[in-house]
Amino acid sequence: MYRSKMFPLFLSSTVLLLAGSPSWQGKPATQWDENDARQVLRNSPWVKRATASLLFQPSKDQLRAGGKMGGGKSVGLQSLELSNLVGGSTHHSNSTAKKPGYLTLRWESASPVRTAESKLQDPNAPGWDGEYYAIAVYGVPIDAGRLDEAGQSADLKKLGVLKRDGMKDMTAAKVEITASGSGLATVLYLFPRSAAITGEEKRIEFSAQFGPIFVAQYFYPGEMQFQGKLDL
Amino acid sequence: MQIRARRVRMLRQAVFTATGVAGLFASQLLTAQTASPPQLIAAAEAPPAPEESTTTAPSSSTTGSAQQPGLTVLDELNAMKARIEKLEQELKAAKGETGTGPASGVAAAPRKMLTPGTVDESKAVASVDPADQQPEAQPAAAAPAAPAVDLETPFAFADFTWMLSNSRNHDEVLDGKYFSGEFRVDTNYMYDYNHPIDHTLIGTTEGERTGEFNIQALNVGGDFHAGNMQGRILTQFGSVSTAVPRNDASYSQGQWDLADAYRYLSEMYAGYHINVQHGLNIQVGDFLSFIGLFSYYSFDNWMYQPSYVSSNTPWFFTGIRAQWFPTNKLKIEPWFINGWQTYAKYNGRHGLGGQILWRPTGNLDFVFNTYALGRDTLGVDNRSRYHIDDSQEWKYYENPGKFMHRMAFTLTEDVGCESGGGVVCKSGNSQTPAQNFMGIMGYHRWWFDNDKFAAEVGGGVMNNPGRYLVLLPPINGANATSGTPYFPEAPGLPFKAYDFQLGFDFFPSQWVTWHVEWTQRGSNVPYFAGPGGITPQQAPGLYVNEGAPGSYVPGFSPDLVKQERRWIFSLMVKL
Repeated sequence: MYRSKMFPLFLSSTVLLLAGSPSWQGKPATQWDENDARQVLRNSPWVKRATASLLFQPSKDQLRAGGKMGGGKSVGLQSLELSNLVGGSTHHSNSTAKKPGYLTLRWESASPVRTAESKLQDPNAPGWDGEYYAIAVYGVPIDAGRLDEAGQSADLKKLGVLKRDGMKDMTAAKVEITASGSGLATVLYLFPRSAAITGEEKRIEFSAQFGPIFVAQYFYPGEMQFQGKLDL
Repeated sequence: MQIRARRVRMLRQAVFTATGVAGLFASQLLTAQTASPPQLIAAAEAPPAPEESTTTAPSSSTTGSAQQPGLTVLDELNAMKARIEKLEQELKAAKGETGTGPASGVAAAPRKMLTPGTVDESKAVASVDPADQQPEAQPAAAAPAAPAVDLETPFAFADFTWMLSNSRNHDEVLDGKYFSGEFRVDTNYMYDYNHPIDHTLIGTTEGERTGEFNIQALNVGGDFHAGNMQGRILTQFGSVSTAVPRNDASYSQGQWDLADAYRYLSEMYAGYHINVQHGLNIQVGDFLSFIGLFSYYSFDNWMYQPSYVSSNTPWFFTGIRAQWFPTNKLKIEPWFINGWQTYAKYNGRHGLGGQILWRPTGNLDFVFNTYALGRDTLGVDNRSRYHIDDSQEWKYYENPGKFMHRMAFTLTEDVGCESGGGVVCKSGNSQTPAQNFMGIMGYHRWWFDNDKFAAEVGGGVMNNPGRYLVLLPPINGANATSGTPYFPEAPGLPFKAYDFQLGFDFFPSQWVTWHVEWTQRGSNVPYFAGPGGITPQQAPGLYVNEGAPGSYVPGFSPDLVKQERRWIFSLMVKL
């Protein structure tokens, strides 16, 4: 009888403790170890993973009609086959292509994130000058996102948006692109702090687009608190 | 007995506390093991932590409590109970709206360390296996819904390859970072029931010879794009390089033969993109006109032979245009140009015009073209031309599961006139006749077997008193500059015509079109090439031009008839 009561209690306490608040939350940042830092960058209110959607890609003729050149869905000369002249090759439907993948978003200007990056000496952690809300998107494919095309940052800036309930959407004031190797890049969005975010705001939606790649995720200011204070 | 009972309670408390402490230790150990990819931290020595701007008392976490001196086992147990209650409250709260948000991290044990910058490109977007990519911090259900289309780029919110005048290929084989190549070939064989002896076709720019294999057009070029800079060049070789420039007499005014200079280029312009609203382009050069809906390139069209309101209206303009996109569904494009399909300027005044293109949905297209003020008659410097051209396209059926899976139709209406120089727009008389243009055309297409086949029907009518938009028959080599005494184009002369087509396409791929078409055309005056042709006979079996282009040849009379019936066979490639 005693064992039968104690075992569930042991199990539940163990599970709850396993699932408990991460250790970094209860310590000053100066006392963080590397595990704490990794937890912040992996699973904290400031770090999210978001599904990256591949938007419908119009042909270059259609893009030109819309005032843009290039950017079509390139398939290369190898896609040409002799059978194309006589039939039997594949056909393309008009359906939109959407295959999921994931990108990581970090609210870079939050001190827990900066501290964790510093603790781990993260080589891909971006830097910037000035007072901004900074959000970085990691692992963006350079080619697919057309990040290496001149003038692309202007489009990125326009398409990096913070949406807040009952308030005007905030577009990025600056965008910085940093290659991180393996054909990937980190895209940093800097938003002005003129319209300050408060802890009372229910949630904030961040969305961005890189060529045909779209990503969006929610952040919850009520949870983005460190040592009892909103930290953005 | 009481002492024994007290000892038992203490023992239970001790055991319970021990299990809790063991669980806590296990959790920290497990967390550390799970979150310790050696490749990331093996050589990483922790740098000095940044200065903390805030200092906070240790929280009530077990870790913190365990480090407090002087606590009894009972205190530990009470703290643990409080902790459990707090966790239970957090779990309950997590089931609310933010249940899939960051709070869910309480229950979601991370599987692997996320190292930015090491995700394979293909996995990052296109070919990732969702089962292999468990979200660590945020299940996808918490994310905002992604749009299926690009809502920023103009006209990118839907697939418009179904439209007449739009290329139907989805993929590009020659697309690069700074240059997007383009290659087109348009060939045909036309069987004319009139069997003109000189194999000459009249009254169209989409076909010049009959009873022969003909290379209608060969285009090589593409788009240059680097940042805000734009440039487009597309050559034109083949029959079209003589058939289209000969309808422009503007280059005859003054020196330098621009027809020779430009005839092998169908598009040539430089442009600059300004990132305002949804885009603003300023482009200067020679660019295509979509007055009359049909594309200059037959591959993009439903029919090979466009009706008069397309074939007889401009294919190109030379000048400057702005393309302003206030929304992603609207384009406003003013033009300041040399004239009505001209390389040069006939007289003393430029032409003004513009296009408004509105695509409210993926199934609808409205285009409004206007041209005004240009003085486009050689030798008449005070006659102005005005023209309005409106088109509508509607894809009213789409069902990918069916053999016949798509249907769409188009309508185009044209109204225009000339005023001054002895003519008026309407209500004319024998002294100052009315000189105007009215025309309409409509086409319908069916698609079959997943875009492998298509069938079309369509046609149109026109009325053009004064004949200022009638394509001059090339009798004895006549062109727009020379004119011809055998088919004068002058104020007061009537011209009415009709045409209709039936077409069938086979699309072995998105880059190749086999097309067969029946076309019949008729007019109220003899206009089309009859069996005797329109070329003087110099000797038995020898039909060549004589004298100056378009000149009168004594004893020669062109064979013009009122009706023409043709089969058109065409193979077209566009890469």
